Amino acid sequence: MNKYILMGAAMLLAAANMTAANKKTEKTAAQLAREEILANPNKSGGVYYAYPFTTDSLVKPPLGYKPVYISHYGRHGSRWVIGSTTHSRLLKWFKPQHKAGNLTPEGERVYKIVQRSAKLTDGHEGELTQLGVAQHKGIAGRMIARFPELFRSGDTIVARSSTTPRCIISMSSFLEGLKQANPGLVMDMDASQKDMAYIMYHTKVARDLENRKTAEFDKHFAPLCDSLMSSRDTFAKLFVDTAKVHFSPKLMQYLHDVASDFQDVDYENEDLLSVFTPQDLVDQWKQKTLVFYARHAMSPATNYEGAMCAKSLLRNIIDEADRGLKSGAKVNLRFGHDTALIRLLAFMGAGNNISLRSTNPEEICDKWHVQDIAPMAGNLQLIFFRNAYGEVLVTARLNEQPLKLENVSHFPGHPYYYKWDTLRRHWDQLTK
Amino acid sequence: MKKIIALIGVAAVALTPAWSAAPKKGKAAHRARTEHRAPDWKIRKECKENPLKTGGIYYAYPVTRDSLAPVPAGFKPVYISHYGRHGSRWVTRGWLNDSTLAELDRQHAAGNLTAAGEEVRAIVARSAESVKGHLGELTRLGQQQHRGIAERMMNRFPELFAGDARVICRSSTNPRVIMSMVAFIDRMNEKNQQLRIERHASPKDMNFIAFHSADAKNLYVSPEHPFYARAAHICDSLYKGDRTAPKLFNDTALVPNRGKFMKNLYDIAVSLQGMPDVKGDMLQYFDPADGYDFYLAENYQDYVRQSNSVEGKSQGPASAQNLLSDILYRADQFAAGKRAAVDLRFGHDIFLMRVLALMQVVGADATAYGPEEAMAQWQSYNVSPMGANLQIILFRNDAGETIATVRLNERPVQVRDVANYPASGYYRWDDLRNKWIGILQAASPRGRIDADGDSPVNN
Repeated sequence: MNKYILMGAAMLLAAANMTAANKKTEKTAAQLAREEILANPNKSGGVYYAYPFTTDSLVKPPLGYKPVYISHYGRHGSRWVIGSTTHSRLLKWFKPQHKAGNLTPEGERVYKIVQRSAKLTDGHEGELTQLGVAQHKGIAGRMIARFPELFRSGDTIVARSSTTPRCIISMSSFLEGLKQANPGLVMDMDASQKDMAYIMYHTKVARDLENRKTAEFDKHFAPLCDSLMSSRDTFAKLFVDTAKVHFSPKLMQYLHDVASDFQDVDYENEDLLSVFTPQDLVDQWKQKTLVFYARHAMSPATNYEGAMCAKSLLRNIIDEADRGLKSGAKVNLRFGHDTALIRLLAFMGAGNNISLRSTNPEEICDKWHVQDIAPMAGNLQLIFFRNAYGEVLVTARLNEQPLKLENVSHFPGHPYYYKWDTLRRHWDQLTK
Repeated sequence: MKKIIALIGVAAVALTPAWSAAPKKGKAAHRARTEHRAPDWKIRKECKENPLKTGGIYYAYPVTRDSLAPVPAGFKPVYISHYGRHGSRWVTRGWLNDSTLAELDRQHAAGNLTAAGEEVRAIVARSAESVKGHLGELTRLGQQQHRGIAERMMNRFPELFAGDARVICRSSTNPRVIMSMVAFIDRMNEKNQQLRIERHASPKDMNFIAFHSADAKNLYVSPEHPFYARAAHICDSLYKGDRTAPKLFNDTALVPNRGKFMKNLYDIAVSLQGMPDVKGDMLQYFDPADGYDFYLAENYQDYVRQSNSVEGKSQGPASAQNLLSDILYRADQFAAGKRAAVDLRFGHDIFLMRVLALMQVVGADATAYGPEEAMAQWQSYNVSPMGANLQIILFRNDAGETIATVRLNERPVQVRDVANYPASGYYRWDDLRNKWIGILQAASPRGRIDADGDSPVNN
C-alpha cells in the first residue's frame, strides 16, 4: 500500500503555506499567473505546452477498496504545427522586409529561425512527434505500474482512437507502453468514424464558434483577443521602420504558435519564445486562454456551446463503465483531442476551476489555465474501486494528478473519492 | 532447411520492358504478349473452385505459411525492406450497399424477388448495417492478417528482430493503413518487448508510399483518355449477370439498369470475405460464369492502370519510381551503416502493383492488350489481395558478399533477367540493385519524379 501517495494532508498543508505566502507578498492571482508564465515561457503556448509530468500520484483509496475499472480519455501527444500556412504566411511577411533591409538584427535572427523551422516542418503538419510518442508510452507505463490488477495477462484492453493519424499513432505508442510491461494483454483497438460521435463531437454552433463566426464570440472576446495577440512591442523589435510594415495581430500570433511548438518537435533546439517581451508573452497566453475558454469551457457568454458537445462523450463514459462493471472488462482507453478533453472536463464538473463560469476575462485568466488542463498528451482518468460488498467508488485524475469533482459530495473522509451511484446519477442527468 | 520451396514461375516470359519508349509492334509483340499466357479455362477453373478470388483486390489474404528458398550456406539475413498493403477492409463506396439494398427493397415490395432473391436481400441488409460508420476502415480480419505477417517475418528472420533492434515503420496517412501498421507493431511488441520501434504516418512520406503521377491519375479520372471510353465499353459488355438474375428475380426485365445492378450486387458479395461478422455466403447465388465476367472487367481495369499495359502505356509503373527509389535509397543507407536493419512501409494496392511491375517481378509485370490477355498473365488476386506485401531481404556472409531474395505475399518470386546467385531464388544484391537503378535511369534520368531531399526527420 505504500505505493499510494498520501496526498490529502500534504496538499492541505501546501495550500495553507501558499495562502500565507501570498498574503505576505500580497500577490494577486494575476501576478501569480504572470510569474508562472515568465518562469516557464513554454506554458504561454497553452495547448502547445508539452506534457510536463513524469510521475503520477493517487490519493489513497478507503480501506478495502480495490481498483476494478479504468476509463481514460487522452489527447494526442506533442505534434507539429497544424496547417502549412502558419509558416508560409510568416515567411511571406518577413521576406520583402528582409530584402528591403528593414529587419533589425533581431528580426533577421527570427526570420532565419522561422525559415529553418518551415523547412523542418514541411510535410509533417499536424503529425505526432517522437516526443509525443514518448509521452504516451510514459503515461501507459505509469498506468500499468499503478494499477497492475487491471492489466493481467489475457485481459482485453479496449482502445478507441480518433481517425486523425496523430491520435492513432498516440494510441499505438500507448499500447506499446502497456505491452512492454505485459505482453500477454490482448488489444481490442480501432480508429473508426463511428466512434467520432463521442471521441470528437461538434455541433454546428460549436464549429462556428471555433471559426469565429458567431456574434457571441465577437461581442465578448474578439476585440480583446485581437489586442492581446498583437504583441506591439515585440513587433517593434523586429523591424527598423515599423511604418513600412503591414501590421497584423494574427501574424504575431502565428509567430507565437511557431515559437510555442518548438518544445514539441524533434530536432529543434532554438528558443524563439525569448523574442517576445514579457508583457507580450503573457498577453499571448491570455489570448490563447480566452479563446479556448470561450470555445470549449462553461462560458456563459458563448452559451456553453462548446462544453455541451461533451454530452455524447460523457454518455459513452457512463455506458462503458456500466458495461465494464457488469462484465468484468477493466480498461477503456480513448485517444482524441484537446477540445474534446476540455469540453468533457468543463461539462462533467471538474474541480480546480476547470468548470468555471465567468464572463470576466480577468477572472478567466486568473483561474482557468488551459496549459494545466490540456497540454499535449493531456488526459483524464476515472478509476473505479470496489469493496467486498460490491460498493463502487470513483476517483478522477487529470494528467495523472488527483482531481476533485464539483456538484457531488465526496465519500465521507475521502475528498477525492465519490460514490459511483451518486456521481452516475448526477452525470446521467447532465446527459439528458 | 526443412522447407524446400518451389519457386513461383508463372508466366516466365521475356516481355517488353516497362520503361522502353514504345511497345514492340506487329507480330513480334503479339507473340511476346500471347505465347505464354495461361489458358483461359485454367483461370476460369481456378475462379470457379474459389470464387473468393474473383474479388480481385478484395480477395482476403490467403497466406498462412510463408516460404523461402533454402538460404545458401554461410549467409545470414542482415536487412529487410517491406511494402505492405493494408489488410481486409470495409468497402470504400458509401452508396454501394445502401442503393443496392434500396433497389432490392423495391423489388421485394413489388413481389419480384424469388426465395433466393429474398435471401440475398437479407444478406445485403446485414452488410449495409455493418458498413455504417466504417467505410474504408480496416476490419478485425485485416488486423489479424497484419499480425500474421509480422509473426511469420519475425519467426523467419529472428536475427533482424533480436534484442533491442531498431525497426522503422512508415505508413500512409490513411487510417486503415495506419491501423494495419499498428496491428503489425502490436504483434512485434508481443514477441519482443525490447525492440525499438519507430512509427510514422507522415504526409511527407506519401511522396513515395502513395504517389500518383498526373499521367497515372489520368487513367482513372480523365474522360479524354482513350482508356476511359474503352473501359466503359468493356464493362458494358461484361456487366450482365444474365445467368444469375433469373435465379433472384421473377421477372428480370423489371430490374432497372440490370447489368450494373448485378455488378454492384457482386461487389457486395465479394466484399463480405473481409467482414467475417456478416453472416451468409452471398457468392453461392451467383453463376460462376457471371462472376468471372465481372472479374474479367475489374481485373482488366486494375491491370491497365497499375501494370505494364499497352493501353495504359505503363503509366502506372512509371508512377512508382519514387517508391523504388526509396527502396534503393534506404537499402544503401543500411549498407553504409546509417540505418536500422528493418524498414517497413504500409500502403495501398495501387502502389504495390505498380512497383512490382516497375521492378519486373515475374508474374506481376506482364505486357498485355485487352481483358483476356491481361487475365491470362496478370491476376489481381495473386498480385495484390488484401494484406499483400513485397519483401526484399538482404543476406551477407563472412566474406562480405551480399545477396538478396524477393518475396511477394511471403512467397519467393523471380526478377526478370537477373541471374540467380549463388543458388536458386537468390541474386547478387549488386546485380539486382544495378538492374533497378538502370530501370529508374531509363525512366527518368533526373531521378525521382518529384525529387525531395530527406530531412533528418525522415531518416
